[in-house]
Amino acid sequence: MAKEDLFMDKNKVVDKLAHTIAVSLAGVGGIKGDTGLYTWPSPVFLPVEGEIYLTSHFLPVLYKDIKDLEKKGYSTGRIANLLKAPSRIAQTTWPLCNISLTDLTTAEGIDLAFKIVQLISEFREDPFCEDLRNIIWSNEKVENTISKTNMIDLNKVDNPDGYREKINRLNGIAWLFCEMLYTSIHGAGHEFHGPYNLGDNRILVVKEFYDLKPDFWPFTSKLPFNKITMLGIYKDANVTFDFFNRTRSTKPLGISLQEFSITVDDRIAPLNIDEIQEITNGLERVSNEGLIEIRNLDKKELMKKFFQSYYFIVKPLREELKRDWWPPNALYEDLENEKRKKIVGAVFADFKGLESKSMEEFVQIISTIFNPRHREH
Amino acid sequence: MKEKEILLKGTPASPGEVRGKVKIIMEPEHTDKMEDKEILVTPFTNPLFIPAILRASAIITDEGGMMCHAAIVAREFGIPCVTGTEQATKKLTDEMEVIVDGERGLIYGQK
Repeated sequence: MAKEDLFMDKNKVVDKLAHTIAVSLAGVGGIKGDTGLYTWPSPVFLPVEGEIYLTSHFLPVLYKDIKDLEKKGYSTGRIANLLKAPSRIAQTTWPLCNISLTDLTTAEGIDLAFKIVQLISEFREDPFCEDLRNIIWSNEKVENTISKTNMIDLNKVDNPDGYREKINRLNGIAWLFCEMLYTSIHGAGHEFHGPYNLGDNRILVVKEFYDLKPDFWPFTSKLPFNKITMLGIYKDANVTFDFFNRTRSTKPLGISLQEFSITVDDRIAPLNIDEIQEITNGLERVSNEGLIEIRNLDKKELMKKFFQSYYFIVKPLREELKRDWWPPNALYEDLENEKRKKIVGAVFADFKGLESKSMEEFVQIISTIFNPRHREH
Repeated sequence: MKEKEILLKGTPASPGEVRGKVKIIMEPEHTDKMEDKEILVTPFTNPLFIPAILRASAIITDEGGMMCHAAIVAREFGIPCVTGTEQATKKLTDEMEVIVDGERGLIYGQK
């Protein structure tokens, strides 16, 4: 469906969004342990518990900021660019499951969900990644980027497997680092996109890890870079992307890597192999320091970090409007007073029931929960 | 060469075959016990397991499937992984030498 046609019907967009979230949550290999329900910071707390507290504060702020920027004449594209990347914007849909806890009307809730999809659509060819691709770059941009980048061809280096091992390690630690910073919404810290078809069974996949030094995690200030961009050309590889930027490949992508380029921050020249090792070492060192801090946080303190990771997403909008971006004290007070304790208990009971459902039933139930049109679920 | 016997079956979450010694880590506080190239055996993983994951030559978990944390991380690192074995932490013991077949989702011991 063409983008213009898609946005003709607000309700259809919102229904499709809710269905997309449900399918992504259901994962692909079974419900228990494989859905997004049980990701870090579980087992300390389930992401949904944090979102139950967060939603009544966060979603109205997001909605009001977008509306206020629109009133100031900001286009959807300009607001989207402030938010940086589509998968980061997609993370703001998780709290939709608790929209009935907000003071937004049903119409406002629908409008918010619709606007989120519109913002994502400013970047993605298909905002929902329905065909399991995350296409952000045009063919022209892909061609230009490859032609201007000094890619390292693994068929022309000594010890290509040694290179692959180093790249895999950087890739792995960067992914874990993002998850450590942004917990269950780690897509707020990375945008993996592609696959861009290059012909001859070759694809380009771009992995951008960014905002690796968010101000709500002071330990990250020691990291000597804020962004890593990895371009990889793979042969005979299969990789898929979902709405939240979760990727899946049948085998490790590194096996199929033919050419690559890695840069940090705005540096143009790709890193050499020793520099790649240095970047990996830096991430490992700072991760270890972060772990010491995280292990010392109790449940409520970790949940405050969870709130901050959400508010960090909207920080550029808040700053554009000259508003404080940190979570409000009222949210922390709700947590301290355990204001949502009863609701959390009820939701957990519902979750237990979900484990016995078939995949189809699971998707149907979750679609309803995440749809602002059915806010009285 | 001794004959191989299948000890456990699970979800083939990241391909590759590795032979190594088992290290069972039940709690993230114990990740510093992991030695380089040992096989991490654990109920599940999360970022608190980073020190153990960085040293592991393969990962075996009790829980999860193709899209669980351990599976995703193992594919990013390019190491074999078998998830959802249900009883790896009970059936395997520290120092035990096993072969992890991430392609078939099998854990072998020797008869």
